[in-house]
Amino acid sequence: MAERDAPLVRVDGLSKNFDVSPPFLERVLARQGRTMLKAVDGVSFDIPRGKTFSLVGESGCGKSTVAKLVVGLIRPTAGSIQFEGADLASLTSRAQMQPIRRRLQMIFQDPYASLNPRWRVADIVAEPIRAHGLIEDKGAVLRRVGELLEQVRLSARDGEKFPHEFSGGQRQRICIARALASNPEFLVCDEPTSALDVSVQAQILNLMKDLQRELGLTYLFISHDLAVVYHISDYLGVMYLGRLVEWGDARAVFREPKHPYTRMLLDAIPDLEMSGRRRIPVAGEVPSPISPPEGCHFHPRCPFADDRCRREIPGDTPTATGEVRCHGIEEGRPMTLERATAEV
Amino acid sequence: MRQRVVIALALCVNPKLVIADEPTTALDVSIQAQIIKVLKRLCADHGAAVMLITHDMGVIAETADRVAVMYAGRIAEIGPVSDVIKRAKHPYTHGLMGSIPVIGHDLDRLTQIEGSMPRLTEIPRGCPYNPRCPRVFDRCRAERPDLMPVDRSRVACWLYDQEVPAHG
Ligand SMILES: Nc1ncnc2c1ncn2[C@@H]1O[C@H](COP(=O)(O)OP(=O)(O)O)[C@@H](O)[C@H]1O
Ligand code: SF4
Ligand SMILES: [Mg+2]
Repeated sequence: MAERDAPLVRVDGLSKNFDVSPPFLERVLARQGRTMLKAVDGVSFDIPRGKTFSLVGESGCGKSTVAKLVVGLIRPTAGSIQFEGADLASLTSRAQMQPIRRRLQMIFQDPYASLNPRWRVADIVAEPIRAHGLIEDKGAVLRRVGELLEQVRLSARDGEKFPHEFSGGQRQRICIARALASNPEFLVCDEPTSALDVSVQAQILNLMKDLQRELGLTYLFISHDLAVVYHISDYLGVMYLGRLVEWGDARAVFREPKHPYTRMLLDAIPDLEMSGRRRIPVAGEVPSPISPPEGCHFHPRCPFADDRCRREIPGDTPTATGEVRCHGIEEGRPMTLERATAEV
Repeated sequence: MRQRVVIALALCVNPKLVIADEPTTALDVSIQAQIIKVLKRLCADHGAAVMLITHDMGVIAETADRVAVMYAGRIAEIGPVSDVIKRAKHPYTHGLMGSIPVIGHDLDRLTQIEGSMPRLTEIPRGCPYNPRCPRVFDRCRAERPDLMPVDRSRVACWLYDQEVPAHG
């Protein structure tokens, strides 16, 4: 049954550069070349069917760009995305894309901006059904829309209303209903609860878990909230300045983070348990992605950095449940907490 | 960076009180940690009082001495931060705490507070939380509770009324 063990989604060496050059004339006058921003730089991971893989990292590290690449909203500069073994880049015609597009959908952070205010909710939810020609009969479309609204714990009658009649949490439910309308197997969720209050966030997270169980969905979940990620994830990837620095089983990464950046990140979380522990002080800030540090991007902030870290990009080192990209770990350097307490 | 500039400016005039309104929203953990440090230093070194307005319970747990939980424009519970977070008394505080995911807690589902916050023009009669409260009883629908002392906290909830013993 090798088929069933193969990942549903495989991201391999994914990169995306954005041209952030000043306007042509300015550039010529200043005798500058083009300026490229490497938003995503060689990211690879797999997502098994029915599981949740989360990407975390501070803002600007490239999470949303990965999300857009994975659902095909933008094209990669390099690397590939495979969906059930099929390379998305090889699907060039609309006719080839359509059946796969139906199976991957995206949910965004802002449920206000992503719903057309002039459309009734029923039309919003029915749109993917029509676009993919899934149901022809008008009555049947309406029945399906009612089902979808009930699936996200709204009522079928809510289809009559307009988006502004709903609260933020209810609008996110509408977005989820719309995403489910094409019977997808894979949902990319980019900060789906970050704009919501904690009590509403709990409702949406519970709903997402229920839907995953009921429909066997696979999630790529993006967030900067590590507690949310702990709650929802099976696998976890940590990004820093466009690169995936560590990934693995979520519980394992939280229990025993390997990469110095992951360790710093986990240590920086305010502690609801009020254990009064002394944390490693967070040193420095994320550098500009336009001119990131050479070698390991994290070296200026890393207490374990040496010359090699400043020169050479770290490769993948396997861990018990995933991979980590760090020279120190690969070489088995002593990386104890005492050394890490030096504050910059 | 902007946040820290604002805090630095605030310090120039040697304030007695600093009001920090959501100083850490949309911030990332490394910057957040620094802001928390600055806020703590404000109290310790400058003797300033800080009023921190936030919905981030982690930040509250890290920085505050006392905390007030608000619901629909009124204080539902106020007390020492450890009491409010670890031994929440008001059913709303209780629900709120349970709805927050915590690293290391393996739960299948989070506690869910049903319904949504009332519009401020449509605050229910009686206790504003009564339509959503799992422990609601008759009095909650009729009379609005004021803050009443419970241990080291004060709580606006009829469950804690000493004069007329509450149900349960
Ligand atoms: N369309 C674009 N053009 C230029 N730069 C972009 C574009 N989209 C994103 N970026 C830049 O790429 C980097 C990663 O952005 P993003 O993927 O949105 O990060 P995140 O979601 O982790 O906050 C940022 O520096 C951002 O400014
Ligand atoms: S590669 Fe070097 S600089 Fe980068 S995290 Fe590892 S030890 Fe630190
Ligand atoms: Mg983003």
